[in-house]
Amino acid sequence: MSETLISVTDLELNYGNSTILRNLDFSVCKGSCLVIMGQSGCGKSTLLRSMIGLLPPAKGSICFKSFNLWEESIQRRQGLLSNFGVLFQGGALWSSMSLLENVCLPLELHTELSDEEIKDLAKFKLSLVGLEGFEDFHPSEISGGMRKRAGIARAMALDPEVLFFDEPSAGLDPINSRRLDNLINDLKENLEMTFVVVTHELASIFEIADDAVFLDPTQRTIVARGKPDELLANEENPTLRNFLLRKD
Amino acid sequence: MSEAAEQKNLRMQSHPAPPSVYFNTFSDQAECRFGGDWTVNGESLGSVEASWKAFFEENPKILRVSFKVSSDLVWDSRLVAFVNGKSSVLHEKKIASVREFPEEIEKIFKLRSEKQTKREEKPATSPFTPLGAVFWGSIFLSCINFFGAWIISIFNLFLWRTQMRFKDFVLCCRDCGAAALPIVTLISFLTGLTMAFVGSVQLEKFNAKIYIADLVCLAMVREMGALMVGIIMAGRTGAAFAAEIGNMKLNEELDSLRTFAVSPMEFLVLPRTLALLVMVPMLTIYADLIGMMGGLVVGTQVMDFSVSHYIEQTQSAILGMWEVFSGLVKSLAFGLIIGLVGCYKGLHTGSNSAALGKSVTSTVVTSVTLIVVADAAFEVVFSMMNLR
Repeated sequence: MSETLISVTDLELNYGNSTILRNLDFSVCKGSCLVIMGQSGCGKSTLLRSMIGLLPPAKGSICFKSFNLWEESIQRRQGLLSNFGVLFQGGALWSSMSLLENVCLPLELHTELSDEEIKDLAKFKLSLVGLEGFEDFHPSEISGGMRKRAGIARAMALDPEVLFFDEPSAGLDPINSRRLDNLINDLKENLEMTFVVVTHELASIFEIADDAVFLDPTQRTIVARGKPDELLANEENPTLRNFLLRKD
Repeated sequence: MSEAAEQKNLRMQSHPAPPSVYFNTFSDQAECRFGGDWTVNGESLGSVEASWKAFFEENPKILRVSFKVSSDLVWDSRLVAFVNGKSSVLHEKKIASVREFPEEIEKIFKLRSEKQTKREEKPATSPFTPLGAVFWGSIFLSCINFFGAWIISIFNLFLWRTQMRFKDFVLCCRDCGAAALPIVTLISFLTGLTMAFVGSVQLEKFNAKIYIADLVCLAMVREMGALMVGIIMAGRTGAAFAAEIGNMKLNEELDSLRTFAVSPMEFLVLPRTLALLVMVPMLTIYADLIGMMGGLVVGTQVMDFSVSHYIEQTQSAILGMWEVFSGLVKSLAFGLIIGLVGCYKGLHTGSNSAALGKSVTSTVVTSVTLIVVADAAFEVVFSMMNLR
């Protein structure tokens, strides 16, 4: 059985006084791709924000290996978070920097490598996502799909153990969306990376997920868990079935 | 048919009868029949509301109402919304309501009931919230928190463990220093020129025109140089900081910095505030000189003083270096105010583009207000310390 990298236990997330999600229990195995799925507004991105250290939980724990992310000191937590890479919905590339500088920055701040080595590494990461030759372009000068891929290259800059993607296919055409799915599968197989992907794109879910959790906006918790194909075949929950079958 | 009758007929066709409602009662049951133009382009429902109110006041024992339509009914969603609203009111009064509408109207009701979702309770907000003590208290705490974090980042800089990149600091210095020279030159020159013109009229009355050099020199180095540079930089650089950082927040760039354990305070705020702390005093010295040149132009070209005479008079006006330093001390404070306000407003921008515009406007207003308040405070302190 694969090693558990992240375990979420009895998690409750609030915004102000209102509870967004409660009673969340799941784990992410090493080398797998977990998809967090659900309708718009069900709290998928909120859960992701908590898992990457941007939103403290109201209750429960998020553990990376044996360390409780939110009970460690800030310095220790930042150290743990350096094992994570994040691709935000819009790419969130730093707009004043070129693609190369975007990938170089985390390496400059967190490693002792020479400038030359950092540049070589950054160029290599960009080439992994098919952006060789675009190093000097700024985010505003490339397409949405390329921005997403550059975001992945930056997320991989520090060779993290887990990559978190927030709606990677959002705003992409079907071809670019498919390319991104292929890229995720390639990285998973070749680099043995672990992925946590938030999405509601059905095609992507069936393509990339080894495991999935479904968040229900009414119950505000996880109502189903498993491989998407198995969930579709066996699950009785009407909301989930409608979601997976794209029915009203 | 006469022309007038024809026109009346046409008008009646294009303008159906006004919306109406008729009631029939059968013991504790009522029939409510809608007729006339119930479209959004129809007439006011004033008379309908009046008849509705009068009917239920006159018949308090009604327990069931059935809604029907007349043959002259012209309708759209206005009728559906009205019936829906009244049904809710009747329901609250424990009066049952039944619709006996044609199928095409019922379809709209069906569509609405299918699309209805569970209503979320929105937290109550008062229009007076922005005036409340809690609101201002939270802003005050947030400012203290921000300033404290800035002080810590300064300590980290001195301990050489900062995340600030020196090249960012240099770029910021260029943007808020060299790039601001043209506007600072123009405004300072015109300020000196205007002061000389205005002063000359008054001083001429006392036959003391040469003191125009003293007036322009002292006003520029003590007050106007720093103040004008402060106001220019608040509008130019402070607003740019708020817009840049606010936009980064909207695009999740700040979150992506945090996920790499990079502190926005050290990476974004520190280079900008330090650049302003360095560049505003330098621009102030430059503005002082340019303002004096404005005075010199008026003194030599309008008042016919020689250049050397004017310069000698200017030199004699400055009794000690404190005259110059007092302006520079103010400019340091102004630079800090502009940098901190611009960055604070940027980091605390809301999550939409309207909020970004609000942040930028607020940056300029807050910075200029704080600059004027600080300027007055400095003058009071300098006077109390006998430094004037």
